[in-house]
Amino acid sequence: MIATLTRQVDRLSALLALFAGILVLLLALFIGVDVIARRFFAFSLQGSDELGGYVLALVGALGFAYVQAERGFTRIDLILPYFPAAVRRGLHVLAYLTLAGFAVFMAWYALVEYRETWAFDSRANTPLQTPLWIPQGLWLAGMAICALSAVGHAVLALRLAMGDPDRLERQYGARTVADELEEFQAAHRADAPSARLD
Amino acid sequence: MAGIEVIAIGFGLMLVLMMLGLHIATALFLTAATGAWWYYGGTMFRPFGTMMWGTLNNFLLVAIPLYVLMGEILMRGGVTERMYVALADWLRRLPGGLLHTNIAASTLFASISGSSVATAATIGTVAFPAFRKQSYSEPWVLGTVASGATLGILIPPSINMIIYGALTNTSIGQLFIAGVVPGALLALLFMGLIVIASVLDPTIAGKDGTVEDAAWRAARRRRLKDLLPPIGIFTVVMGSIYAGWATPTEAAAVGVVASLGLVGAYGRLSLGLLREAALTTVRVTAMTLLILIAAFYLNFVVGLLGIPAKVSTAIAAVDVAPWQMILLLVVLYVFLGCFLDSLAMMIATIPIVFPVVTGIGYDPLWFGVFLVVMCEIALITPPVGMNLYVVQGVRGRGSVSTVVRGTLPFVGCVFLLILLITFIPGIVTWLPASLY
Repeated sequence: MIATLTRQVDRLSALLALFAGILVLLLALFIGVDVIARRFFAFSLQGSDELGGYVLALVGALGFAYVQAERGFTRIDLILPYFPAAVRRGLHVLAYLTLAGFAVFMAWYALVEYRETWAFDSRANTPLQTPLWIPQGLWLAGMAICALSAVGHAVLALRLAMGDPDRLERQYGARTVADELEEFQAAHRADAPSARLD
Repeated sequence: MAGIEVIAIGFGLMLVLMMLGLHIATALFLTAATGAWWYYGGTMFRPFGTMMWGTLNNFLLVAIPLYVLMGEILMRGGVTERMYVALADWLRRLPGGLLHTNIAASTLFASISGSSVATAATIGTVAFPAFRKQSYSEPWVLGTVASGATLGILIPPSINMIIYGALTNTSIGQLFIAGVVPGALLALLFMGLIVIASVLDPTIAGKDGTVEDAAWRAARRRRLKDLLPPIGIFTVVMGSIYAGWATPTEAAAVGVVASLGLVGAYGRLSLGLLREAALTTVRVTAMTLLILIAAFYLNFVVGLLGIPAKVSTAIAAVDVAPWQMILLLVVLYVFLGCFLDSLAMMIATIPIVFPVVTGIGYDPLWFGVFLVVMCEIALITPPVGMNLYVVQGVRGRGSVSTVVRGTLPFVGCVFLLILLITFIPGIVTWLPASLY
């Protein structure tokens, strides 16, 4: 049950990450046009800094669950390999339990912040006067998904520790540089022509 | 209130948590939260939500995804390969031959990318197959790629500088400009080392006398069209910051637009490329932001406990000269670099060290560049120097100790740079001072 649910959350977060990425691309075009227009045609699209801030908040909130699903958050594996296997597995589980705790803490305080915004009907201190509940609502949703995914993965890690330690090591072990590099090269092989020196 | 021993306990706790393999963000957060809880109870958790929103909704940090996106588009659009081949044609006659290409290509790539690891992986992937057929000394080939790539965080744009600027309220535009001269100087030191080494021992560089003069000149002219566009993008980005037309964040957006145009002109722009570039951007940004949320909270708690003032008082009591202080910091950072990821090292020490160093009269810009250079050393010294492992991974055979051996002479160059900027701070501060 939890495994299926977590997989669904992971799939959703990959879609949301792509959405956030598209927002960054659009933001770049928007700001780019703004700078050029301001410099050469003496007019400005207002509010690019404000929108930029909202986009970043969304990239963070929507990206966290995505990175979490790919176990991409940085861990240091300098001495981990030297622990006895049982201790090391315990530490993998501990890492994911504490990460889940942090994610839930963040989501909770995002909710606290959101409720205050809602209660005071806060608006951005900008020409747009955006009601803050709109960007913060999306942000809160992202943080909630991140917390959900973090808890799901922590439970899965805990269960694997008891049932299937090898899979725990594979799925929740610290990523090595080799893992990351393989990913990097897989991503770049397709579109990288090899250089020829002649 | 906290005494000075709290720093040792807190820092020790953080190191232990990181060594136990907790995620870096969690380790930073737990350290900060423990301190806040111990002295103030739950009340100091209250501002966490506001602080988190403030971190994420920060226009300065919007520069991070934009520069990552720019580098990704250029790299995936094949700009790096073209650049590498062109530089090889231009530099092959220098003593040391193609070894210079690795440094020069890293320098140029660093100026369109903000990350050293991405630089190492990209240049390595292009360079190693090209070197297979040649008779160059392998440690030198590996060393030039690993150490050249560290320029990625010193030469603007630089993710490390954006983070330093945001954490310490230092102008990111000025930091970028402050990185230009030391970055170029370090590249020259690297190339000088290659020249000296290959004159002393010609066997480290392959023979390359087969190209006719006329053919060589023609090749250089032909390749120029691959070299000028990346230089043009760098000029547009840094030029608009220097001229005051755009903030570093806005300049990044202009860089993205220019990169799209260039890759489009090469006929390489596709939906697949955009999708992959966008996803990588989100991944890198989210990883960094999680650490930053924890870092801003740690900064807040450390300030609340009055730790910087206490450290400053303690340092003033010992009465060390500023340069001795810097020497101590070099030792501290080389030591920390043995355990920590370079970004974690920078973020974890800024709340305590920054007030002290600026307190004894060093310029915040100078310290930013110093810190980035110390990160560079951390990237190429064992046991956790990321670049060493990335280069070893790309090479895919032999042992990492060959990479370490090849990189060692270049570590010497980085230390020389530290000496130079410590005794002639103008290397760092002159260019940004000429700005306003």
